[in-house]
Amino acid sequence: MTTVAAVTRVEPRASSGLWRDALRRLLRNRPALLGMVLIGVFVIVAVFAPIIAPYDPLARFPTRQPPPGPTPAHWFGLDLQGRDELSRVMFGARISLFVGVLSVVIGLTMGGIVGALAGAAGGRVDNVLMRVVDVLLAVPGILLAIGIVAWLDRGLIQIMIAVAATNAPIFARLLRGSLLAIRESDYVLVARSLGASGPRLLFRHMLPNALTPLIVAATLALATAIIDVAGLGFLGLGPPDPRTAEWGTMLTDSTKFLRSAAHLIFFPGVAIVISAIGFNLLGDGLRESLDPRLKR
Amino acid sequence: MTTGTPAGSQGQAAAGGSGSGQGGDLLHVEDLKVWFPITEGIIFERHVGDVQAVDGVSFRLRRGETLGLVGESGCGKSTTGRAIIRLYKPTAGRIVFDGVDVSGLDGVPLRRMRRRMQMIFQDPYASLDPRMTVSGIIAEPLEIHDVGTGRERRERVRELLATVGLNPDFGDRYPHEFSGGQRQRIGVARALALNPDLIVADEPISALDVSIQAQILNLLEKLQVQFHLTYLFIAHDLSVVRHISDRIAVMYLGRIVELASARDLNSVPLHPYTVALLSAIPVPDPVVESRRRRIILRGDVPSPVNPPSGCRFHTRCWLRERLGNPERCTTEDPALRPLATGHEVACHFAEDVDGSVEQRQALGRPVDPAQAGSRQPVAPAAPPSAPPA
Amino acid sequence: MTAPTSTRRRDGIPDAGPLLQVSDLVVKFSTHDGTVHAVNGISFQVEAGETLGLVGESGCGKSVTNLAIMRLLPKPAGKIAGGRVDFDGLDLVRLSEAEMRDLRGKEIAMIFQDPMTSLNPVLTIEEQMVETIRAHRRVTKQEARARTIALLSMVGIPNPESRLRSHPHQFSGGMRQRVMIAMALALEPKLMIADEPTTALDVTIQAQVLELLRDLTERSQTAVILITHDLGVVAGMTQRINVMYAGFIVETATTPELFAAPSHPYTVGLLHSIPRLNAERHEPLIPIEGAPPDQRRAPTGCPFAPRCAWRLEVCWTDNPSLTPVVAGTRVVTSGAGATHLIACHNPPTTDEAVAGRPLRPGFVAAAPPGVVVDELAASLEATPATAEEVVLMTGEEGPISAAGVTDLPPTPPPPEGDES
Repeated sequence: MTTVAAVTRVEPRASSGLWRDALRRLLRNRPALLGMVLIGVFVIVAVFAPIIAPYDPLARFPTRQPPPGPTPAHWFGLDLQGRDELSRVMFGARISLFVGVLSVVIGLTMGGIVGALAGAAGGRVDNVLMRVVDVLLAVPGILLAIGIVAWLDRGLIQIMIAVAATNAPIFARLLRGSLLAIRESDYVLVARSLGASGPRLLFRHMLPNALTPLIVAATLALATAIIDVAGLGFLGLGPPDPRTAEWGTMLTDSTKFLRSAAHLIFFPGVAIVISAIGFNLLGDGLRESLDPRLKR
Repeated sequence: MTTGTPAGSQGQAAAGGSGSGQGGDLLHVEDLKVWFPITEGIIFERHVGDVQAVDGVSFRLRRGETLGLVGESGCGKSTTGRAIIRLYKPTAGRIVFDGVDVSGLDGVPLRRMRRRMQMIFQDPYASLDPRMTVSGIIAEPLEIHDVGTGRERRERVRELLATVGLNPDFGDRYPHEFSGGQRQRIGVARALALNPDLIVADEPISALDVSIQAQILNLLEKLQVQFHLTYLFIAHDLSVVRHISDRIAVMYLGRIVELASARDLNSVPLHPYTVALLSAIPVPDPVVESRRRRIILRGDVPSPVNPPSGCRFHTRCWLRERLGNPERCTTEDPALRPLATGHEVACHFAEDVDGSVEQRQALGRPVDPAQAGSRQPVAPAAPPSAPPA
Repeated sequence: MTAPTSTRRRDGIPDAGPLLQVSDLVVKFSTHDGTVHAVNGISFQVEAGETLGLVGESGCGKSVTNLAIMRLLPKPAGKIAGGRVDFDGLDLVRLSEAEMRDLRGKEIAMIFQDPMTSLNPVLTIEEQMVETIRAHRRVTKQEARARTIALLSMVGIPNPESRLRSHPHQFSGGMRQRVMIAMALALEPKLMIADEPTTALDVTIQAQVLELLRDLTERSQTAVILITHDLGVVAGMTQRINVMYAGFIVETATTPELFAAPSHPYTVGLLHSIPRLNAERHEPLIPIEGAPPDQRRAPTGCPFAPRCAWRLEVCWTDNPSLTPVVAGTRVVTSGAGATHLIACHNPPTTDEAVAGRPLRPGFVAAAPPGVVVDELAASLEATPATAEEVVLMTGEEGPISAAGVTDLPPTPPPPEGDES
């Protein structure tokens, strides 16, 4: 009996996981690579600050007013209290990283749970939860953060909660939206028709597919978190101990010295900007590499 | 308000067609209704109406046969299929599967019944979870119903992949690495995993390229013989449905308007809608096409939220127009009644359809007997069209 | 009849060439997966008043061809990498965007597949149509409005004045497509390109719309390029057909001739794989095995070779060009006497075309060059009637698996003399 064997080329390379595919695409994306480099620098500095900082951030050196700018001994100059700016910037990275990351994690968790509940349950529950989220979203982020810190008193934990509260509603909305859309997709319908139970549907099918927008959002939220934390510090709501090196606080008193001691503003400012840009670039790169291909 | 008539079911038993039925109905749908409520209001939702997607559908499906469910968009055929496998809960009516009424079941008993009826979905791109491997997708029914050990499942997955014509080694790949036709095969493999009795195929080939459609159709036919499957084949393409089905039910706006063997439907269509449908389908034969005069239905399909009074088709019916707009069509909803053995029609004036000019036109037969035999098409890719009546 | 390279004179003096002449058109897309060779050097003509069908499946390049003609390829990815498109004396490939914009709508109009997305959902029908008319003609708003109403009633929209203020979503799919046709014909273009105009519509609505299209274009003598995958639609609507596969034209003929004597294996395969209403019911379908090729590789050899039951060794390396079916015939490129051309090294005989498979005793489709054919275990399921062969081939590029292999359905009894 005649058989026509069709020669069909299926990709000869070994099938890599979806994540590895995405990673490969990410690594080809130049802006994302740049972002990762910037983040890498940021993280290394933050983690190893105690080792690589040239001086103790609290140590004071003889100074004058306005304090001197970059010199061979002090690459970033000295601050108003005569402390080495470079070391302070490095230690400031720790706060930004620590507080930034934790606040996003908390926000993700809180927002994620709310969003998952709303998206999975639907109906009344969804309605009520989303109205709460709407209220929170109606308040501009920084104002909300200020309000919470003012209410809870200053402190690192409080800052974390405040920033988390500003990004949690966004995650909630995002996850809910994804889940709602996924809930109607064919493969979920298929699973239901096979008799899959609710939890199985949620954890096996819906959440894994809803993750990608969340990952992108989380990365971008880190950028915002860094800026928010610095913003709070700048407004005088940062960590209560005035000796702590925090980028925002470092900017607060320095505004008067824009002309005479610009280094006081420049270096912390650039540090904030660069870290935020790094996460933004990575986030954009992630969006490209994770999402559109899955539509194929 | 149409009900399956007992006389009709006897007739169907006689005209079981070429299906290798071992006798007995596998599925009996009785007056199925699926209505979707429409609500308005933000906080307090008011029930303002219903989309009457399926509004009184009845039919029987014998073991081993293929029943085609055909109709255009909005007719309710997909909803019917999904209601049968309980993706939707019926608003009314009964769905009796192998003697058990599944329309009201829930929980564990429903899960047990689900093993025996599976569905193949239309969109090969959306019906496979992009984050699962192919093996995972095919094994999922086995996991959900706790069948077999891990090793047995892996074996079964390989077996199923081979059955549908795919290389068993490709289980670790992801859906996006396969073409549309291959993905649909994966969907078929998944449907077979639990050895179901009934497979509801919801537009299984509409999303595929033409040259791939035939592959999948042949595969489905082969599997039916191999595994003694019963098919409910839902599609909008009557040519495809006719090819694979033993009997065909034509749906319009939530109702079955004609139910007959595939052969009878194609040679003696008796409902004006069926005639119009047949007349509208383009045939890949320019000689036939140039001879045809189509029945062009006027207007669009009415909304299932507010179906027309009386016979739902009366707003577009050519027969009604020809008969001078009889009152009955607007006031009385025709029931599905048998006109010949195994041939049911829901039309008050179906007797006038047979032999009519429109029917002959729709079937591509010369309307003028004098034309008979004069221009036989020479298309080698198909046997000559039906001999002139 | 017409010399392909001459162009039409614009002063209306009849004849000197076809309305549209596409010569060696090449279109490529650059994606981050590589370059997609969408169209690989095709040539065809359209005469005034003629309806030409472009038939093929997804990826064959039919839609891309027409986007290229209209210069509407997505930028920056899509590029016309070669060839000419002569329309009414102008080479469209070389025109500036402003000049093209002038032509679009006025001389060449296009209808798209999806009536949902091709009409602007925010604008009313009146706004869209009046805007189109006034973009190309100096008429007052009243005049444009009057013309719009006339057009809407010409396409069979009841109560056109009352529908002017409607938005697209208030129309059904069929109505929207009629509005699209009205817009396309508003300025009396010489050429209309209809890209799968009825694929998204129900079959009874499709009949309405096709009938309308045929009537209107016949009346106004507009040339039409009808793009579709549906052989039934082209059978009833066109005078000539080009069959496309993987960016090439593989067969071209007048419509009656194409269906009466399909000669390219792909066309034969297509015709045998669709169930027909006018055929015997359980006539077995003979599918074309395999799947359309990956167009990210530059084509080598005949693009249909991997799926072709008639392939010879030369088919793997040498891409055949379009030649007349009857060797030596003079090539006529358009009109009712157009020559039947195919691009094939080993075309099916008439009997084979009727049967849908090769009938030559002992004929086996040639394997790719330099390849070891290693046959694996035969039956993959138990039923004796349908033994399968999985042929695993190794080639230079690594394992190529016959992932899409199925056996043919039980074939009808072979004609005498065949030993299978």
